[in-house]
Amino acid sequence: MTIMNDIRACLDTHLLAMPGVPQIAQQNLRFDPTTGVPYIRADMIPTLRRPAVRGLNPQQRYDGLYNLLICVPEGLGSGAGYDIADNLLNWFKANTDVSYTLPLGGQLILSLEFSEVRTSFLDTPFYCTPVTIAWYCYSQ
Amino acid sequence: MAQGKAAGLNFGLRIKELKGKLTEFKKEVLKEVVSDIADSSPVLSGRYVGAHNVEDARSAAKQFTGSYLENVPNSTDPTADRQAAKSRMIGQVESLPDDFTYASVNNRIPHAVNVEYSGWSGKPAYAVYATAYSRRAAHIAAAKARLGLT
Repeated sequence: MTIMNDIRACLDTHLLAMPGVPQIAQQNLRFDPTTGVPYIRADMIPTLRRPAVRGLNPQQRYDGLYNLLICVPEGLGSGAGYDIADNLLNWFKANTDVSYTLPLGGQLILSLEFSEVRTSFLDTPFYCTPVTIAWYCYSQ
Repeated sequence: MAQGKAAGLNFGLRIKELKGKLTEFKKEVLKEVVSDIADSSPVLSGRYVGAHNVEDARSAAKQFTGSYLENVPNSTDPTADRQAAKSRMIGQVESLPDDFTYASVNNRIPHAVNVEYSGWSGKPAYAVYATAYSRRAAHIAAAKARLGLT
């Protein structure tokens, strides 16, 4: 796979491994939310690719975001979304690494810079709470 | 006995120069940030990109005021809308006081939350502000290079 796909797979695999994770709506896959059933929309957003050092053929540093939108049925109060958000913050803890075994062998180590919850908002019939996770890794 | 002659730096002058450079540097970084925000803003009607705002404040008060509007005509020139927003915000950065400590870039239009986090009508979330924050190292590097501070 390409590096971007490796990063995406690393993040998605880590999210799917979280105990008690709700349904996941992944990018570019049809997903019809069921009213009354919570789900998480997961979007990987690459933001930066810069040489990590000077010189010929330098290793690159990749930066990006993993935006998770937690959607719980409206009318349950804000706590339902924050319960899931708290689990996600623990699962994607800042200053920790997530490793992924590459299909052709080797490991990809993705470092998590921060994870934080943003302001919730109503998107009927769901009440949504965004969680933003910033990641980076070094690769060719 | 010969009188010794003082030689050295005029610290007062050097500190004044450094303060000037620091102010310039803060504003150059902010200009990079607002340019990034304008360039990566989606433009449909142009209302979102036209609502970005720079303020001499720690955070934006009165967020998301107003109502959602529907059936607003599409912009005829998205590139011009982005350029106008960029020029306006750079003007706001220029007019910040020299001794500013905090500045916020914000967007109070009601659908800014959808543009940032949730998307709408099948369109993805653009994460315009989160992306600009994530690129901060590049903005700082560009500002340093422009001022010859590298």
